Amino acid sequence: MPFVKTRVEIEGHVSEVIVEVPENEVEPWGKDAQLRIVGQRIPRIEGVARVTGKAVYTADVQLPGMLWCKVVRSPYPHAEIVEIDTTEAEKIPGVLAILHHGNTEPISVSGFGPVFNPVLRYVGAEVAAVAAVSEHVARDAVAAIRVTYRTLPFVLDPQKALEPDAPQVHPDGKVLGGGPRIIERGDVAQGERESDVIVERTFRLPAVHHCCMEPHGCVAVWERDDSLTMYDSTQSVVNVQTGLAGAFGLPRSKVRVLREYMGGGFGSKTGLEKYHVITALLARETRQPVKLTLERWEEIVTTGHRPYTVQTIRAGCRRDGTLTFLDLKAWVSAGAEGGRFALNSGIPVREMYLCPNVRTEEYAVYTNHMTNTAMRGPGNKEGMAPLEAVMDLLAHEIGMDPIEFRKKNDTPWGDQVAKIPYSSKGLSQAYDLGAKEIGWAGKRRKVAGSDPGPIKRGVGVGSLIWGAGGGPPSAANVIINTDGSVILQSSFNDIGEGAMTAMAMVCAEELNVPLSLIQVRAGDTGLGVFDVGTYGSRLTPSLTPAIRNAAADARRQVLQAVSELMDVEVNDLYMEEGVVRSRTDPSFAQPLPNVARQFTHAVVGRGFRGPNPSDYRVTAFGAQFAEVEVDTRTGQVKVLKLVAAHDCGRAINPFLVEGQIHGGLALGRGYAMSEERVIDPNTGVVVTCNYTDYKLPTAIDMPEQVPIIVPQIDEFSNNTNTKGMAEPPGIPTAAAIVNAIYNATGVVVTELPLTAERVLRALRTAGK
Amino acid sequence: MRQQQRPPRLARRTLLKAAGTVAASSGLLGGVRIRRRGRLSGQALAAELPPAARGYRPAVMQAVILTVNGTEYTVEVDTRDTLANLLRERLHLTGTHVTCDRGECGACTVVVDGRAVYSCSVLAVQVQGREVLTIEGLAAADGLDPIQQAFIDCDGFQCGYCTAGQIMSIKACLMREPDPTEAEIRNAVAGNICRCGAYPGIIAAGLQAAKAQRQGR
Repeated sequence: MPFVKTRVEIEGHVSEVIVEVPENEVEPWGKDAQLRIVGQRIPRIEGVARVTGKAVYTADVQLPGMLWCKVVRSPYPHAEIVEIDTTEAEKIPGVLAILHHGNTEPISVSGFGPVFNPVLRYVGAEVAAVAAVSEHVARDAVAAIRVTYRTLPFVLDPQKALEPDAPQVHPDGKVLGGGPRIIERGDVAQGERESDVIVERTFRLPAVHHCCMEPHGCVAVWERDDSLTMYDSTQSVVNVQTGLAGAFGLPRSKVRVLREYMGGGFGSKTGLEKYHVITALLARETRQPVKLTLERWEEIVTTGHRPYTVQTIRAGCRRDGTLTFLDLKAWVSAGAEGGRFALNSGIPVREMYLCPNVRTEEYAVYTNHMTNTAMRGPGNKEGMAPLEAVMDLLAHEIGMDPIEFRKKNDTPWGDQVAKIPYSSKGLSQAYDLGAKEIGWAGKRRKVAGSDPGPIKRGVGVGSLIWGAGGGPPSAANVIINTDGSVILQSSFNDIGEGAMTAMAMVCAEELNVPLSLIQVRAGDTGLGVFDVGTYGSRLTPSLTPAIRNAAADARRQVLQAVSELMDVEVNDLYMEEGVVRSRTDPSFAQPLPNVARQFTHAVVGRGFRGPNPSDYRVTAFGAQFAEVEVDTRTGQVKVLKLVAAHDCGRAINPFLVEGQIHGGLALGRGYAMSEERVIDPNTGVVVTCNYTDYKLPTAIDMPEQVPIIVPQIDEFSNNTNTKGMAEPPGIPTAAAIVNAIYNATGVVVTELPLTAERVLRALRTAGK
Repeated sequence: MRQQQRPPRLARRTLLKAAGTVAASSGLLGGVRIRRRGRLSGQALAAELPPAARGYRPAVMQAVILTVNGTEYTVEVDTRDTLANLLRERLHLTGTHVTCDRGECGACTVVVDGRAVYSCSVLAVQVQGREVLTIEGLAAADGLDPIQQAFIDCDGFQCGYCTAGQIMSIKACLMREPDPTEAEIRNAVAGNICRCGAYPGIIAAGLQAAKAQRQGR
């Protein structure tokens, strides 16, 4: 069993993982492979459960004797708890337990601090929790708990928080990591000297929320042997299992985390959070199952967000269109605990274009609101809009078509310093396909804002780069039972994107059996076959290769058994649509169920994901186009059409890939046009904590959308030729819309979301 | 039991006063029969006070007779229970999901007497004598309603959490307009948020279902 080190890039974080090299790794399919199932537009195999209301989500779990948990939360952005009086609450019939920092062992959750911290650093911070016989009684108890607070000065703006006399948010200092993260190559000053044109803009991009339709929630059950079972709405049952085991000092084998169906995550449900520990503590205290489902305001205020950023970007180029330098300074309002994804805004500037002189300086500043969390393309989406806007400004200055300008600065290198190439790059094709669909040549205003009259139209483009190669650990078993049924087993997480269908398709393809034969068992650590989680666009490029390996292993074992049972040469045997056939004897046809019946035990094919290619970077690319109409009298913007062309390697199921694109566009349209967390500066209270004030795109807001999959596979990424596709489609949408407004009006609006008020103010400031 | 001309003050909690709530449930409120109890108005008053001033009062239980998916039930409910609570927790019909719990997202949409209604914003006691259709009752046990089939065919969902609400909104739309335009389908689901962004599939499914239904499939 040879083990090697491999590089795994997940959401901008690169790590070295030690991984076994599979002995029987199947050959990549390659571009000429004739596939029966993979690549087809197949509706979801679990569709019936989801459209009939039979699918059981975590929020639907009801167990005998189950109690309800509700949480008392801080009304102040910065305060100390002086006293908690639970006397009245305890008198309420049906209240079984009340926990707070004064009566609970100190447990910390990585990235979020102590579960019950007597120092509260954001509105919504956990103060106490109640378990009661019904939701109503739990609410009554929460209302009856008296808490005395000593309020402290607070700060919400990341730039103000850096001032010397600003309130101290976090004991570690003002900035996550002690200071800015500066990454540079070449010499920006030299680049400036070589520039014919230099532009600079400062952007303000809003904090936005995940708003999963199924709120965060779980049901905790302690068994008599002190093992813990938790039903949880999570993107990674494995991460929550690991986290709970650590929090309660249990071996992982004593913690089982499972879930049948899951109602969305978008990055907010990737691992252990405080609510898991609180629910488990209450279940242990009461020895009864306890359920927690966050209310919508709690969901918005306390489960993280894409952070508010202020970004000043400077860029220069020569008259011939060669980029000379890029310089980004970003201030990120990281929240009370900093978070893991506050330092990603610089990725587009460092990686999108070939540029010798690049500097990024990023400050993740502690502020008195909830800590940011990963949200579908964390950091990258924030960084892309400013970069793409100044690219258009530069192109305009030198009189070059924005797409031509981008192509001129295209990079062949996955790592510009080490000169390691991309495994595949369909960016140029994405520009061409998207431009054709939006009608770029005809619709782009050669002179921005040149439409006569007050209502002006324009088109814009936004580009995308995002590490999407996935990697280990990821494993699967393919079990062929003695009744001929096939079970695909892996603790992976279908959070709504359609992984169950895609994985079953890969399994059926490799085994060469009908898709209907495959039963998928997933989302349960009890299966014992681990995939680390559905995030970072990692699942498809991580797990599909493992499934191919497992299915090939199972097929080999079946053919070997048939060879021995029926005394035929194993090399003559092959599987076709669930029937074992012989190359030398056309009359030989043994259906799998007939064969399996003769086995004395189930065949278990085992597969796992091997190392990533060492001589390539696996990265997703794409380009999106927007057409807008701007009423320059009111500032109102209508998005008329969105086109999204994406290079994701081989599309296992184009139907599902298009779904991901639609989803990304909806998130991107929301980020650009309507979504914004607003905090009252006087009280620190989040005022946009419901769907009336926090505006999500609806069916009547979304324009015509055209998803395009760049028809090209990735020959080097992995054995299924895939790249991740989940996060990329949300990344360039806002950039495309900002640039379309620029094309329509001649003004780059630098503050998102692009409300009529902001657009009008920008137009008036520019004298338009 | 006596007939109410105007809806009584039935604040479950102050949240219910959201404008969307009123719009969503106004059709149901008019003329609904309520069995009044003395405590109810006191509780409504308590719900309007800030939490700290709220005194605890024990639950008031009340029997509600209603028809759900063709079956008549008598259910003992807490007067604070919503129709969504009744369906999910008393009848275990968990296909109806609660996402915002204040009449803004539409995930909990069910059909009451032919109208799409946000079940999170209707009190259980308000559905006395009403006929409720939920996602579980849309199709016969062995088949799918044309709307459900269309949602599968058109990929009108991803995570599926809002899907029951989307389908029930389209159901109510098709009940009053068997041949809707695309704009009418869009309007029918305008009060149903899908964070996965499956709107193109939802609209396509609505149109396909309407066509299938007209052709008697």
